Amino acid sequence: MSASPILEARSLTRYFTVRTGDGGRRRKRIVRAVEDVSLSLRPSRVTAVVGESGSGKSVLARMLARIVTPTSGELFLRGQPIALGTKRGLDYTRDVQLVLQDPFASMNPVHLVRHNLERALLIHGARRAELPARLSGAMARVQLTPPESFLDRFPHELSGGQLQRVSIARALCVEPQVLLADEPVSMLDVSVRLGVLNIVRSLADDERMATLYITHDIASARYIADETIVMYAGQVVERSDGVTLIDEPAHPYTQLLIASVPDPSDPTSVASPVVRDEGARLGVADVGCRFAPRCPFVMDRCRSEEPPAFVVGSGHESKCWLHRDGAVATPVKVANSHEGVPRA
Amino acid sequence: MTVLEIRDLSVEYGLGEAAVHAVRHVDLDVPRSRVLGIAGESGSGKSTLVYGFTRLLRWPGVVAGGSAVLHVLGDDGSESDVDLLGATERELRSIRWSQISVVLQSALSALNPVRRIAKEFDEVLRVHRSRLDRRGRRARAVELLEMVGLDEDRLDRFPHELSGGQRQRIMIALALALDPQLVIMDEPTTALDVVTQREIVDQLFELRQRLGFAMIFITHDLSLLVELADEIAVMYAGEIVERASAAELHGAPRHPYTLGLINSFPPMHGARQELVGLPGAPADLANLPTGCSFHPRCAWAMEICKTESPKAQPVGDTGRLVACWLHDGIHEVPVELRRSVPERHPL
Amino acid sequence: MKRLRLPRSPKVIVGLGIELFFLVLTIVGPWIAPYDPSYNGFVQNLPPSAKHWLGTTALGEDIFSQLLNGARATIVVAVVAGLVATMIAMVVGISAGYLGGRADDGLSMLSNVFLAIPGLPLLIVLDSYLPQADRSNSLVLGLVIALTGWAWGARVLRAQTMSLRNRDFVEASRIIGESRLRIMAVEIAPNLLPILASSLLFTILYSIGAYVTLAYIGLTSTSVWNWGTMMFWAQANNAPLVNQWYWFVPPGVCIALVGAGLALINFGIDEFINPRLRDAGLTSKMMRRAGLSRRVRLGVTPVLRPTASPRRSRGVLSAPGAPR
Repeated sequence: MSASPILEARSLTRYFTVRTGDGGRRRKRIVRAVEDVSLSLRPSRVTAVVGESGSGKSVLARMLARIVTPTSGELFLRGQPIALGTKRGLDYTRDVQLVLQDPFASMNPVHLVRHNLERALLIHGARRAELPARLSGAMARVQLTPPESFLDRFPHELSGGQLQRVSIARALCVEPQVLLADEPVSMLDVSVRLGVLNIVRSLADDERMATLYITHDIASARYIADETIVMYAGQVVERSDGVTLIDEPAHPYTQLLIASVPDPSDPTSVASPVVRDEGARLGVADVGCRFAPRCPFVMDRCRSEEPPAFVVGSGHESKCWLHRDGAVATPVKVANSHEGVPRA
Repeated sequence: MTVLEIRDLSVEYGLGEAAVHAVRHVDLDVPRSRVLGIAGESGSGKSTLVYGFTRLLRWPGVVAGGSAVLHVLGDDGSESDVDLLGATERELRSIRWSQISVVLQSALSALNPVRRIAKEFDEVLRVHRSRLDRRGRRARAVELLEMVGLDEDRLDRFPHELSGGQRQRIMIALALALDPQLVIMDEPTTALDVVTQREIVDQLFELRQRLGFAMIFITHDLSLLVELADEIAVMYAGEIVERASAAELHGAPRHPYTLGLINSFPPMHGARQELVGLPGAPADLANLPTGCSFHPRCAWAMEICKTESPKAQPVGDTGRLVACWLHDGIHEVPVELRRSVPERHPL
Repeated sequence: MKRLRLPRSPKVIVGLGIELFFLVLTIVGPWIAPYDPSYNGFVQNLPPSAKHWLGTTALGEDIFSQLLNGARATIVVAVVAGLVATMIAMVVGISAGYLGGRADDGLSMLSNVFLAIPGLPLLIVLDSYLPQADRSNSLVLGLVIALTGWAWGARVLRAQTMSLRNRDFVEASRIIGESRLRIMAVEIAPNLLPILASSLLFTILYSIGAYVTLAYIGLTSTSVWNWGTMMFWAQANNAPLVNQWYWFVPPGVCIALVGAGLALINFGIDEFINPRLRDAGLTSKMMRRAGLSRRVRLGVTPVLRPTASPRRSRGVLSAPGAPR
């Protein structure tokens, strides 16, 4: 079924040291932005990473694109190990491309749209004579035709959806085998998002692109992804295919996430009794399971020992002590999940 | 009983030929103690509408026409009217915050970073509740924080020491400090993560049940509104294209834009299939199409749509409005736009 | 292609007008001068008259001819100095800001040194090392002045570059594999145009001052006529004491005008380059016609007097199905 992965990450970790305090109280704090994340990107498959801000998903994308150096871990491109810490090199750039969140910020405002695409082509060996044909080709792949009406404009003259397609086209000009998309539709209007998502999906289906789709919106992950990974506080807490993840979430955080999403067609998500403000400040534990301070099923073991990833189904893993005996937690409504948790 | 009555309101940026018509001839009624949701994308005019009638719009915004009347209910049950557009600065100041309060889109940066939270409450209460002494103001602040689910110790913190969700709760508490009749929330949860958003929305729901104020909730997230609002108005290119109860709007949309918008949200359940949503992009206010602004993106556009702009008309007998030529009684309504609200709809 | 937006602000128009005038003077000055500025056979200390529009000096030279001839050297030196200084500032500032690390440390130290050293004494020292022949060479003088005037611009450019460095489009360029040099020159530098223009204008202003000062204290060759030298001679012959205003006031006024013109252009530059800063075509006349007071206060959005329903702007049909 699945070909061997083009890009594989094993135990990627990234720590940041942050100096806090002022004057006399200078302290050094270690922020564990990403910890021990492994994933594989295979041709024709879309892998989604779902997480909130602070979950480490963007840092993960940048490590995979190699614009951020991991603190530890391994990367394999087509089975060959990559020496981390050395310069990226044109070869890696050619194979792995990254599309950023804000389409207006990712285009230089003083240059025509054409300039961005041309640079991508020229750097990777295209000859001037080939440019028009290849530009048209790239624009056609993202369904922006006729190409001239978009190429000979300035970025601010295009809409967000069009510009994001241009961003994808720029990445495609390099002819990568892996496409990393960091929240590509979060800043676009709702009615435009599906168009871009469909393009991302079609790249995988029609061109065998190995795709990473990062988002905070689990519904869109379900829509286009073959495999969905949920991240919390830098770690992978659950992974599965999108449908199973939403229908049978195993990890309490995933359950909380799903219960929080507004879903007009689901009767159980109607407003529930008031919730005290607990989660945010209790935040993340340093020892044991990171989610323990907010978890409705928390046990003593959770506070002292970090759980491993348990297999709870075919292709379905969850990092939670509840599964030790093969049990799967039942989904809860948001209201219950805050009872009995101490005040912030 | 309506708390706010808006008729034919138009708001523009700039003057004369080059003016951008951001809000065009909008009629709106906000019933007392109910939640009205306003949904729209960029360029829809939803924020401009609200800042327009509250006179908070920044230069070069101007209110170009129409009327906005606030019906203030006194403690003795009597009603007095305030003409918002004709009001002087003094009159505006007296009703601002005490009758209408606004939680801004940039609420997270609306708190002064060098002031403790207590000071913010103190200011508001000092100006408007001069009977209270220092201790009384503190007590009221604690009461308000309690109402939004925060502990007293938050009062002595600076904004940067609080999380986004906590700051938003503080903004809500401030907005409710003087027991206003109408609270306007402009995208209050857009910058927050989904879990915090759920908490805040639930909190708002409970507060409204308890205190009985009317609320206008502006967002681009239609699915959020379906849960929270009693009535929803959908805006496109500065006009209201449909208005109905939440259940009717979601279960049985009448306007093609509403239908397309609803279909743009990938579902959480059900079979996975390719969705189409809407072609094109939201209309550019500087270059509006002739006739109905939505027609270039509409699957059912007819000749009349290209030349004449439809007015909002009642449809059915539940008081819902649609601005679309398909529903003028002459043309045949496509099957997708004449569903009935499902019996088993959760709302 | 980007259309050149004509400046509409009165400030810029006046400023440009002044500079254009002096530019023309630079070119044609010596030709239209009535007499040879160095010819000293006229009657000395004559007040302004029809024959000598600005009178004559204590040595019998025609002041007006000196003024016209003086434009060239003054302005050429100032412009050369400004250009060279700005180029140095660009290279040093952008490199320091983008490369960071040790390159930044080194280049910043260099700029700080040049900033800290007092400009005038340094100029005097450098100038005194010049062979006599070069003191009359405008270009060499321009270079020397540039050496003392680049550091401030470099600091400003460095700061701006540092903020641009983290923008998404720079990251995107890195991601597609663009080289550092090309990023600095092609992606970052064009975004600094307003600052570069402003820096250039200020540096030219500074250079005029530097050059005139040098001339005034007699450190430049007196064989080349410039406004500073005129004032040097005027001062040496006690012109202010005997109220010979027509000798030292005209060059002073010219210098001031050039400076003022540059400053005016500078004020208008942001508006010119970034049209989004301009209000939507709002002039006082329009506001009065609409019945609005000129000052609009925050929190009191103006309400227009009831008018007929607003005219629609011309609509544009876009093809259905065209993705945007």
